[in-house]
Amino acid sequence: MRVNVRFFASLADIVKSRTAEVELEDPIATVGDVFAYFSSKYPDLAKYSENIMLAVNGEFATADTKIKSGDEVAFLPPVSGGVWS
Amino acid sequence: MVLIIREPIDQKKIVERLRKPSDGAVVTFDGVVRDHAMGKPVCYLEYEAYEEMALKKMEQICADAREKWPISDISIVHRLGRLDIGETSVFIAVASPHRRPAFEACQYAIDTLKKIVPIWKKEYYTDGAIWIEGQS
Repeated sequence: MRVNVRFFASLADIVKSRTAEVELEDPIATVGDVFAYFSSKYPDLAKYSENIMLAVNGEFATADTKIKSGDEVAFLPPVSGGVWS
Repeated sequence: MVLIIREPIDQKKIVERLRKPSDGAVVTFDGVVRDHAMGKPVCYLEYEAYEEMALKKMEQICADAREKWPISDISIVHRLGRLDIGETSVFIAVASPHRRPAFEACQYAIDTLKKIVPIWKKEYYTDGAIWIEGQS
C-alpha cells in the first residue's frame, strides 16, 4: 500500500523534504511502521521517537494506529508550548 | 471564526466582528513576537503549520470553549511566515454577556492552542536559528 507522509519543522530539516510517499508491503501496517521505515533511512529521526506527535489524515494517532492505502501520515515535533509565567 | 493567514493580523476588525450590544465583555489575547528568548536577543521568527490539521484543532478549541462556558462568540487567528519583533502571531477574542466566562475561555483557548495545534516557530538570532519544540 502507498501512503503519503508529511514532515514539519525540525523533522523536515532532517529528511530535507516536507513530503514523501512510501510503499509498504505489509497490508496491516501501522504509523509506527512508517516511522521505523524513515528512522532507518534518517537515523537523526530516531532521537525524536520519544516526544514526536503522530497524525493520520489530520487527526492525532498513536504508533499502533493502523493505516490504509492513500492515508496521509504526519510526523509532528512537539508544538512550541510557551510558558505561562 | 478561525483563520490562518500570512498577512498582519487586523485585531480591530476581529474585535468589531464579534462585539455585540448583548455582550458585556470582550476579552482578547494578543500573542506578541518577543525580542528575547532564554536570555538571547531574537531578531525575528518564522512560523509554519500543518495547516489543514491546525484549522481543525482551532475549530475544536472553539467548539470545546462554547461547550464549557456560556460565551457568545470566539475567534482565533494565527499568522504564519516571517514575523518581526513586536508583531502579533496569534490573536484570540472571546465575547460573552458577563466577563468571567470570557476570561476563562480565552485563557483555555491560548493554553490549549499551545498544546495541540500543530504550529511551530523558528527563532532567528544573530548567530543562527533553532526550532522551538516542546516547552520554551
